[in-house]
Amino acid sequence: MPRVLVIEDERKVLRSLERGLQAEGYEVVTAATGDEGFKQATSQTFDCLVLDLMLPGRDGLQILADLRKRSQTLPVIILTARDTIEDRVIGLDAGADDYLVKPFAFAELLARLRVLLRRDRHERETVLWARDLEVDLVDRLASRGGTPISLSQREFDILAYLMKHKNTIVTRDMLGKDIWKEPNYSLTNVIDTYMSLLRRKVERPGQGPLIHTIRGVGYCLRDEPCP
Amino acid sequence: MSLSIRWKLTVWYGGVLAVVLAGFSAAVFLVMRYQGLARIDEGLNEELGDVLYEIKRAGDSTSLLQWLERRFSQHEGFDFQITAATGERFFASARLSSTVLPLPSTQTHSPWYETLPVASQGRWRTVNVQVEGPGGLLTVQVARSLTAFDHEMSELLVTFCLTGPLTLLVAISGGYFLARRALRPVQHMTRTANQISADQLHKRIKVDNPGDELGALGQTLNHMIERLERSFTEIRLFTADASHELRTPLTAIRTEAEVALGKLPDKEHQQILGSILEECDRLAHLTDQLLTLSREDAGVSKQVWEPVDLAALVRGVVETMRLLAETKGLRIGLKEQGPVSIPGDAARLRQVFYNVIDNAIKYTPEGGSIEVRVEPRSQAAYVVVKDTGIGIPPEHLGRVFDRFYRVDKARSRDQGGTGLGLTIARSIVVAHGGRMELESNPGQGTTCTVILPRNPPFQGNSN
Repeated sequence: MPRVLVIEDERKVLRSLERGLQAEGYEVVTAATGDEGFKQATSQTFDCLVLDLMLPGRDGLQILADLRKRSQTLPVIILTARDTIEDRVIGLDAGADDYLVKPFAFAELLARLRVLLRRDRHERETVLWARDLEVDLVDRLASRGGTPISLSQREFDILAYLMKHKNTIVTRDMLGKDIWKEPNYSLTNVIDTYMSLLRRKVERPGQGPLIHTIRGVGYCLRDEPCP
Repeated sequence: MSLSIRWKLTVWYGGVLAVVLAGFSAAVFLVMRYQGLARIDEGLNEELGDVLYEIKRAGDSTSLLQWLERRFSQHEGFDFQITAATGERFFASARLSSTVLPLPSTQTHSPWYETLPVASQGRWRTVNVQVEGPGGLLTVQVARSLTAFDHEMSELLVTFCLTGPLTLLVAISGGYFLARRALRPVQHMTRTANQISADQLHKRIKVDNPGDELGALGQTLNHMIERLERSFTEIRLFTADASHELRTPLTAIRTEAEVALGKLPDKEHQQILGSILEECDRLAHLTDQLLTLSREDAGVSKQVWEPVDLAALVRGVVETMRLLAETKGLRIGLKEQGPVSIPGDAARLRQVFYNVIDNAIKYTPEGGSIEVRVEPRSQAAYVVVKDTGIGIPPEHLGRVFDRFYRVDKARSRDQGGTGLGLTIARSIVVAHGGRMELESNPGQGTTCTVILPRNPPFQGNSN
């Protein structure tokens, strides 16, 4: 069971993160101040740290810097309400592995955590499967039940992304950031359009849908029954 | 015509100096002339005394003439003429033998000084007196040619006329140089002040002499920049605080709702939570836009000016939006003529065209078309987005850039609009030194033109 330390001063956010992560099967330790969090981060072992940047006492960047000074390689995701590019760069420069801008989708936090915890597994897989859907990442080919599906560049990128995050929710923000390289709300409509196009090409009538829309959150490509 | 201060100073300085020099020269000239004449008159008076002494001493006209001939016929510098009451010349010194000195305008018994012209011999200074001689009333005239004196005076005049302007020229160049030197700190201040933009407010004007007037000006400016820096820092802090304050509750709502959503099997509750999440997204988006806008308005956005190929940038945006447009049954076309390089921030410029094209797609009914043109012109690059949409009624045209302004409120909210898209687009364009123009015919379509300068804005002294 992966152990996650969450340092966040906003009680409600902290509580819901704790509950949500526990529900996903994480062991969660929480800290509401920077000093307390730092103490825990240095006295126990964790698989990942979720760190808010604006904290009373020792702030997030300071904790990050102090941890990295002690050559702690613990993966760190920072949460920040500051969204300017400089703020993000500062966080990543200070040694964070990933960042999320508040308000983030909880599903995205889960996805990013999974990526950090099992970083190298997907990299080795070159052919991904979901039921009878096959996606070859090297040859950039997709087929369903052996029948090739003709996809545009972008459609393939989206499908591959969904397959890499199979059975977990992918938010529109994640798609925007990772596929279009642009965190931009204007893309919401564009993403939805691509999704409906992709569905038309991938789904087979009578077989039950692979790509699901999670209202208010994003999309999910699922080959298991709903959790 | 407006002259620079250093020229104004120089002109004034030169003018005053010219008047002073002219006055001084005139005074010197007049005094010299007066003194020269006075000296001559003194000499004349002395000689006159000698002549009168001889006349008084002489017993008769013949002996008088003899004495006069002996003493005054050849005399250094002075000449003499004695005329009888009849008008007949009684005596004249050698140099006057061929010339007749005109008689004075006034005949008196006390010495009368007069400058008389003599034909072809210039002016003569004379002293004249009437005395009783042995043979009756005599008019005695002692004279001295003014030729040498006049020559001297005209030389003086020439000297003044030559040296005056020369001195003036030297003084004016000196004055200009001094004025320039004195005003150099001002130039320096201007240059520094020009360089100070929102992201360089830590810069200060160098003050060399805090005691003098320019030093005081520099310090005043520095204080002003300091106050500006403080208020900019406050704005930055405010936007950071505001984003924290607004985003934290949204994060809490989002996470709680999402966590709950994962657990609830109940369809109806899932619907409710889904709707809460959608509202969360909308609020988050609105927060983003408001913060972007306040940062743009305050000019605290990081200005990253890099050469941007506007044609490629617009092409990218059009390609991204193409599917959206085509799904809505719209044709979208792009006309460009190769790369158009402008200085700017690519990410923010993309935002402009996303917003403008997104608007065009939103307000163009099925079957319509959107045409995007990139036109390089000499000073600026034009990007024209022309749609065949519903258009904007003239009474709304002036206000569509206002924040939260929507022509048809219910309609655009349904389409996910916040009423900030065009405001943000314009703010970004203005930050790039450009402008946006909007033309519209209701029912026929709208043309939105984004005009971006091809030279870097806010560099040097243009602003």
